[in-house]
Amino acid sequence: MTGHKLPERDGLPEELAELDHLLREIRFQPRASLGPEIAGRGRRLLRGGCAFLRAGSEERQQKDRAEALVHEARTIHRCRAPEARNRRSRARRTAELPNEGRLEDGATIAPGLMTTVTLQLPDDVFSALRRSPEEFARELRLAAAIYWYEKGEISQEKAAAVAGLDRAAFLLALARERADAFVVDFDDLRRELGLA
Amino acid sequence: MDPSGTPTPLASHRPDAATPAPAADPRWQEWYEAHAEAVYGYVRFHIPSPDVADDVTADTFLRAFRAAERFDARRGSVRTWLLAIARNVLRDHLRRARVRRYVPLAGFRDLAVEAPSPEERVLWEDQVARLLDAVARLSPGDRELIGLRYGSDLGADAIGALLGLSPPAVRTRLWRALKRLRLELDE
Repeated sequence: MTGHKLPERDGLPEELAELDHLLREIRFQPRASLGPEIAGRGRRLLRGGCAFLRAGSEERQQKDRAEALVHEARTIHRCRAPEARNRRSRARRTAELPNEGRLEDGATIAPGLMTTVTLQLPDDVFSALRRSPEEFARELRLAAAIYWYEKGEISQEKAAAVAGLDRAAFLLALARERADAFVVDFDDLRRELGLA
Repeated sequence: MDPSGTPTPLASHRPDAATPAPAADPRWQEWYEAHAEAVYGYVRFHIPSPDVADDVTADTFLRAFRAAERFDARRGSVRTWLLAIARNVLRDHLRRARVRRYVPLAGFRDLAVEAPSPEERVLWEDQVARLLDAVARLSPGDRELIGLRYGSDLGADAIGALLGLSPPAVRTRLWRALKRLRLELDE
């Protein structure tokens, strides 16, 4: 039916010849767009590999910068103890959980300092979700931010930082995901309204 | 570079931010064009859904692209190597998913048919559905042989290389598998 040819009949017994012939006629063709899709995913894989290596390199540089700050703080500490302790503490906090170098009190120590978190996930996760690693990471950050924000574990500002968004964009994302923009503690509210 | 200034072993492999991504291996397209149908055909003998078969085929080629450097032409043809990868990907997939053991009639958008009339196409699809349904009821070993032989167009030598069997053993097992398939069809 399709002219599909196999190289040889391998001396097949006559009684099986008809079935053999029928099976030879079956030919399946993958979706026409599959080739370009695979090529695209292959290229993304390569880019992902390079980005991973680059991230490793950047992480090292950030760690070096944080260590330099700690070293500087230690040096100052020998001369002016209270200020140096603050700076050392800031430098350590920035090294551990930096948010573009911003501390909780709003002070900025080293703009650009970020911690890189590397996740190892099986490749088929991305194909199952039909998302590129970049899209997956973006959505993962947003999902984590919304989850912690809704549980009241982090502030709106911190949640926006976890999601990698500014506050306005995070509020829009909350609206899009139908999550509450303001987390209300109902016990507090009752007390505030004098209903407790 | 470590603090003492000695280059670390990986330092030369770490591209800086300006390093562009490497170009895709030129063999990729060639491999896909030459062997996609063989890989897909093999997978399709095991998987009733064309969409899932597409995914398994894609995963096979991606795995092959990543391992392209390890391909050694002296050890076998590209097709045999790709089918060895496809077998692993398929095994992983079947382990994870409970694949339905029947062939839906509506799932034949990927069946190549030269018959021009819609009636002939319907008859052919019905026949193929019955055949694949019977193949699905065979043992995994029989299904593997039939998939490699008829889905991927492999000869006894190549199948033997993949399964670790001699060509005469492949022929004998294939005939037995076909006999069992005929019995399934007659039931």
